[in-house]
Amino acid sequence: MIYQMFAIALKDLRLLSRDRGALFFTIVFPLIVAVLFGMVFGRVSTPGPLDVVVVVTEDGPLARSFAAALQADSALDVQVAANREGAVEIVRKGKAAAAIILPDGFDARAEALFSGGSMPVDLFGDPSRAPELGLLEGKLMEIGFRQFMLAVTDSDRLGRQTIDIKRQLENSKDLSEEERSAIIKLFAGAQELSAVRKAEGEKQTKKNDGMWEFRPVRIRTEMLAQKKSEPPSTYAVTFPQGIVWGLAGCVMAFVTTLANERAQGTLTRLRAAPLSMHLILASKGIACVVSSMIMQSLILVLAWFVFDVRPINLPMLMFAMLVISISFTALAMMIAALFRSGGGTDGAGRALILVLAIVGGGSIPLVFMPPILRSISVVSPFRWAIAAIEGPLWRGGSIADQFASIGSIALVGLVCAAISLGGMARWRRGM
Amino acid sequence: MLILRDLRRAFGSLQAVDGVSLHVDRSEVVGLLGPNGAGKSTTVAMATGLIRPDSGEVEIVGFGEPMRASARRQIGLAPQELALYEGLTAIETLVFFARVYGASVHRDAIQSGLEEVGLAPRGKDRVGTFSGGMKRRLNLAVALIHKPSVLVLDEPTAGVDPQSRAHVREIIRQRAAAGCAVLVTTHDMEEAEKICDRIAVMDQGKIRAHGTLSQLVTAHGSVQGTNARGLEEVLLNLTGRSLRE
Repeated sequence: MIYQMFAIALKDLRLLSRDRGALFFTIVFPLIVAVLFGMVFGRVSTPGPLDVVVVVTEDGPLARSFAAALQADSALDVQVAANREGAVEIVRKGKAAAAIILPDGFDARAEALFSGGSMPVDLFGDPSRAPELGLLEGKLMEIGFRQFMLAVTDSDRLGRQTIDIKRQLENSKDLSEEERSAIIKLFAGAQELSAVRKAEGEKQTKKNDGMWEFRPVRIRTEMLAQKKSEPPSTYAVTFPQGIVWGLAGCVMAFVTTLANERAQGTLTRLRAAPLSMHLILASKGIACVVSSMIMQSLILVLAWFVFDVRPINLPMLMFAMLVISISFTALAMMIAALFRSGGGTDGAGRALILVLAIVGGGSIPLVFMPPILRSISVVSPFRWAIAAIEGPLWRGGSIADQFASIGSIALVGLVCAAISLGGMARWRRGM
Repeated sequence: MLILRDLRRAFGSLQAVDGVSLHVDRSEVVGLLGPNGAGKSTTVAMATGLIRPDSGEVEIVGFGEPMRASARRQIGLAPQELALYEGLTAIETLVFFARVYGASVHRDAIQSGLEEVGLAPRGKDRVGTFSGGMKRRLNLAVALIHKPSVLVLDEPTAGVDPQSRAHVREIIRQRAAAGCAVLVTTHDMEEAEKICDRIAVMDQGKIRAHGTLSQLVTAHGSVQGTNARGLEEVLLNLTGRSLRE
């Protein structure tokens, strides 16, 4: 029986390898999508506000002010987390592009802006959104400058800082007496200015060009999924997208071969052989699983060796690929079982797969989708396939998280298998 | 030997086969004749285990009913459609079906199968490049590759040139001579006359008459003399002259 199953699977793989159209949609088209989208998405920014999560680890007026400035910025969609771990988890789960941590000592270091201090910011980014993170760093710097300008124009704070600097100058042993005297006079002038402005209640808005050379914010960036040396790239996102199209190609090829078998009468011939219908379909399923595995392997090997997208958990990735292949084979069987005619199977099956692939993130990555489409995407098994691949490929997260993603696609497969068994029972009753 | 006993099968309100009984002995070719919709294909489907009868039984003597795998191995089916994979070569086609039936895939066995139907020189060519006659011969070769004891051939010479038709008929007779029980459905009166030892005329799900050609012509043919004319008359006398759907 195993011998016969493999004979059928081998025959299907041989026919697939000779079908240029099917090969194109199974291997070539997914690669085009992966590479092309990788190049395109590497050059565009997100059209909507950037979703970030902010944590203030030590409460202070300056940290609060900085966080408020972030929340007030229309370019950012800010959610607040209670602690660093919670924020990092949100990013790991792909629910925000980055976590912005205003760490302990933020206020103290921000107070020391004029004496070499800077506002410390820890940034934990989602590597799949590297282009957006570049924009975010610019945004943080801009807000930092605004905070700095506030410090300059805050007469109380300016006064405190000049007194502090004057004290440091008086104690400094690196300066000659002439230098010290000149600088102290300079700051005495600043103190006088502070006093005058406080008296007049006037706000200083004049720009000091020299300040633009100054970096008030020190950003320490960490890519969460890339704790290794290799930086993430947009290809880490687009190659799973390519796999979506490869899976669509495999499913369509499987559905087409079954439709052809029915239309050409070869299925009748196989059914007349000493094989059960379930065995015939299982054999064809093996071919679908094998072709899916080959397709995924080819795409990921190319991603690895040409585009430097290295999986962070290879065994888990292989396990995910296997589960995905089996689940999508179940999806193909469901389509084949639901339609009684070969034409119906082929036509409606292709349409269904196309829609599911697009909705599931095959054309536009989920992060770029409008919220409503992102919500709809939960019905697409392709979305769960992407999630199952992304975890061990680059997103990381706990083993439990990765198993959860893989479990989701396995669940989809089980549902499809159950429906296909029902459909096949209907088939058999009609025989 | 193939035995059909009181087979009945309905599809909805249509009684496609209604009490068909027939047997095909070893070394015998039995023709199943009838107009479109007579129930021939349903009878063939039940005889080969493709569908279950509502009642009655099919027996491959010594192996039981054709739903059993061991019985199915004894049946060689050549469906009316050219049920072949156009992307495979003739050799790959025979190897594949030999594997499916658990038969020998030895090179000699495959080569012999191709030679039998005159396709040895084209063994490495893809089926998609074959003419209709060549495909029809390969269709028959597939049915023969596992050396079945019962051959069921549905319109085995439909749409082929006279040369191929003659070749296919010769193969059928040779297989029968070698001990095969052969059940053939056909619309071709000449074919029925040339290769069938006995003929059963079917209409509206029932066998209206069966016997040797001479018995049928004697009992139901109004025109005596030429055999060809006689069998056609038998068919028309038994099934009527009204057009069928």
